Amino acid sequence: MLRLRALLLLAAALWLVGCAAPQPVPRTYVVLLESPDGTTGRVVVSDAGGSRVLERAGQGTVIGDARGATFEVDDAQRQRDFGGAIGARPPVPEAVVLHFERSGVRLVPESQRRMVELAARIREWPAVELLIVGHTDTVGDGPFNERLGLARAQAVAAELASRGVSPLSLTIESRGERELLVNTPDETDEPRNRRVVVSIR
Amino acid sequence: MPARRIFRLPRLLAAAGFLLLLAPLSGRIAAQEANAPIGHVKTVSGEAWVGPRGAAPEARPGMPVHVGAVMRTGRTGTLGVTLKDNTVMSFGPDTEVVVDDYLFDPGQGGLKLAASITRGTMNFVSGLIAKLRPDAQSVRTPTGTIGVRGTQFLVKVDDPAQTTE
Repeated sequence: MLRLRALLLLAAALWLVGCAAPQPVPRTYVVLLESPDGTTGRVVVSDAGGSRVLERAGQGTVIGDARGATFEVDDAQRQRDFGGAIGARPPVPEAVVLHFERSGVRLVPESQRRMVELAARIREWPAVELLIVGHTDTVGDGPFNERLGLARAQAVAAELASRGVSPLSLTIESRGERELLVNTPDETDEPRNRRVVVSIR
Repeated sequence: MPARRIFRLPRLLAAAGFLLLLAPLSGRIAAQEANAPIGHVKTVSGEAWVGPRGAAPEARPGMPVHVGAVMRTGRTGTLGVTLKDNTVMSFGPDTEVVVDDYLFDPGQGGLKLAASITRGTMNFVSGLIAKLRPDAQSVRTPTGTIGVRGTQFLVKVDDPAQTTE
């Protein structure tokens, strides 16, 4: 009799434990992810539980929980809770560098090939905003290089347009020889400085 | 050269006139900057709205986003926006987010992003503001604040009205 009662108690206790077992779904929580550039930064959560830092990708914490515990959020939960937000993420802005032949507006062959793929990608970019900035090396004087940088940027803009790119906004600028990528003395032929940077947002 | 004489003679007057001309102009420029968009809508699906609270038009790609604008999605909606500093934010269904404060003026050292999410889900990718000043970005939720230190994160806020507990 006593043993039966003990058994029943044990069963009841197990049943209670079983009921409590499923983790409650966190109501308000944050999950750290790896950044698109491959690095992982940190977030600092401040709430009733004080302040705590998440610094590993996949690490989460409830916001407004006095215990301040952290936990792992797996792909399945991430997809279930955040599938919509993740799917709606616009492309992360990027910059592409194109290089030029000496003292002119002709792209080097490698950059010319790249142009085809670049134009295709920009066409797919939703409501794309473009900033095209031309640079030169230090061959020639300052005013000449201001004009050359602008001409290079305009040439890239024209080529993108001819390949069907029609951006929401387009800004064309020249830095001439004022922002060298590789520092050189004046009148130095430096292929890496002869460039146009296309910033895509 | 008669043209040169014109410039020499009433120099004082010309200067005064120039200042008068400039005064309302600079005011207008300042106003324009205050109204300048801080970003644009890039992706929309289903029901989504961006604009002043209570009067927000339906969102569409290319629509400007201003400080204080309410970004909202309906039961089936999603929305993605990209800000001037390359911060990328996207929202799942039943979400409401406002950018309360935004400064991106690296030349003058003005760097700040403060947003608040009152319900729903958000995917946040930090941009140049976080790179240039790591403690200048924060996202408020009803139960606490997230300080963003240059990264990507997800946040989910349950609508208190839909809590069934």
